Amino acid sequence: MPVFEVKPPVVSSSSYVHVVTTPASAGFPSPSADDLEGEIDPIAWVVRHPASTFWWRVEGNCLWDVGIRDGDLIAVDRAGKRRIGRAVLAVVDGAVTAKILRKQGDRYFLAPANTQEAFPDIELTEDSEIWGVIAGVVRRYDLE
Amino acid sequence: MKRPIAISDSANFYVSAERIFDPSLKNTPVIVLSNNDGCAVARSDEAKALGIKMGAPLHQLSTVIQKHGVRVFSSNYTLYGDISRRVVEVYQDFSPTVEIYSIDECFMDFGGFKDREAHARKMRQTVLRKIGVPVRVGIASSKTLAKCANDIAKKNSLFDGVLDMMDEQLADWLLPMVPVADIWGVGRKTNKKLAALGIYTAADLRDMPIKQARAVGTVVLEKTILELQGEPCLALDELAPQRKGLAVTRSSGVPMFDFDILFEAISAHATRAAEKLRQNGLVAGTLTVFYHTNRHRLDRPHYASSRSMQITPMSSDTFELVRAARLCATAAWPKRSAGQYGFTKAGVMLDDLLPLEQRPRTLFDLSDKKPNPAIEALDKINRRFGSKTMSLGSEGVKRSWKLRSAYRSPRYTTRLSDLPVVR
Repeated sequence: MPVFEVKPPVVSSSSYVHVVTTPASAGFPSPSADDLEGEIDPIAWVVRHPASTFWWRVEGNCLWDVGIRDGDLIAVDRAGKRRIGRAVLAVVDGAVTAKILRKQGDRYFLAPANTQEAFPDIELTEDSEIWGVIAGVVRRYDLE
Repeated sequence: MKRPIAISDSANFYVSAERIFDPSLKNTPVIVLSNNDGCAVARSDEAKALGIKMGAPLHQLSTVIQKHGVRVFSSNYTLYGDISRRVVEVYQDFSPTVEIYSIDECFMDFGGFKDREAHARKMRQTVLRKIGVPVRVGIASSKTLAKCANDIAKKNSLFDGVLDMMDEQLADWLLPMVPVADIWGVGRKTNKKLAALGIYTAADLRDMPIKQARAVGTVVLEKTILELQGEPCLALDELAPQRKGLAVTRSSGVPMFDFDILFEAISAHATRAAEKLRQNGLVAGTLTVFYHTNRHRLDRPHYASSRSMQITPMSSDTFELVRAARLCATAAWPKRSAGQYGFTKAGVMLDDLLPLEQRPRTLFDLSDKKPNPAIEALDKINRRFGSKTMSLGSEGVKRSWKLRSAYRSPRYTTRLSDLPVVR
């Protein structure tokens, strides 16, 4: 009767490692796994300060020339810097209006941007207030 | 050096939130009504000046509303919640530790800032510019003192919305002018007892011997005294305590006489409660349903009832919770002459809450039960298209039990259809 040597059990000093595998068809791991990215979010690109940005709906075309039209959604950032030439939301006589901030001499004006229709300039007084600066526009078109 | 604690709160927060999108409300008396349009719960300064009291019932206000053109709003919690979240976001730029105390109050750690008053002023100015809501800040070495400082800043325009009471001399000067009833944690009963002992002001209370306080009342009073001495007893909770239970209850717009209508309401409440559970990653072990008639209507038959049941295995599944709610509601339904009771309030309470991963397994649990894909889809749809886009049929579609909110402003910040319009 042959005698077989009883060998001591093999003890591994290393611990188990979970291996994450990607299917590999030609011996290479899929290179695309390194470049996983999320979806594009243009809204996040428009909204730079989420806490201070509010969305409004535009009615009318007084900012047509700067690309803002009736029915557009606009993001308005209250933290935006009020600079001459920027499109802003302003409160005049208890109503909110979207205009371009202009300056003539030392007087500030809210001016429309529409060469097709005439809208009057409004002078900024102590009672009026800039609500925020327009940060971006969102528009969509019919598909059906 | 004692650690400065700041509390920031908003003046007439609900009114301020309404004013952000409707500038015509500026310098106008405005009130916001409670749930179900019952009474005034927020008043603009102009409305206060007209003598409209906190909690005044709407039907008693019709004359003053007409005469002075008071603008009336139903509460729009969707809007207030969103504005509150934005305000907290700004606070977080000004303090490493922000503890939300209520929808319009936050405690903050103000330690480490050299010029605390300037820091508070900058924070105040930033909240006003970025969100459009005016806030006031009180700073002191304990929460009770900070709240007291905030109160003083509110009542006295001298401080222009910010009061830093870290300086003991300043506290010594101001506390004798604060009535003891205005101190956080001093209720009406305690106030009476204190008055009998000749303690009228915050300074009197601060200097009261602890032994005497123990004789007067509670541990709370002792803590309040220590806090007034600048000894913080109420810590800034850096971690939100885990929820032990949650409840969804609502008053009904019209009395509910019919079981089916009542169950529609209960079903909606159970659905909302299940949603809250899942948002917090919790499961519940006990569900309670209750409903009752209006206790104050002595001329109508009165009935109040509730039933609880265990949920095994513990769950946050809408279908399972609604099923449990139906069993409870059926069991609680009056056995005799049911049709005569008009139920005006119904609610669902969940207790024994545990994080999902800590829940006890039962013998027959599948080892890793997958979450119900229908529930996941339900949550996703409602998150994306607005709540109640998809709901269980048991909720019904008419929602006749829904709250009265006849004067609610649009949900300006959370619904595409409700966006404010600029011309």
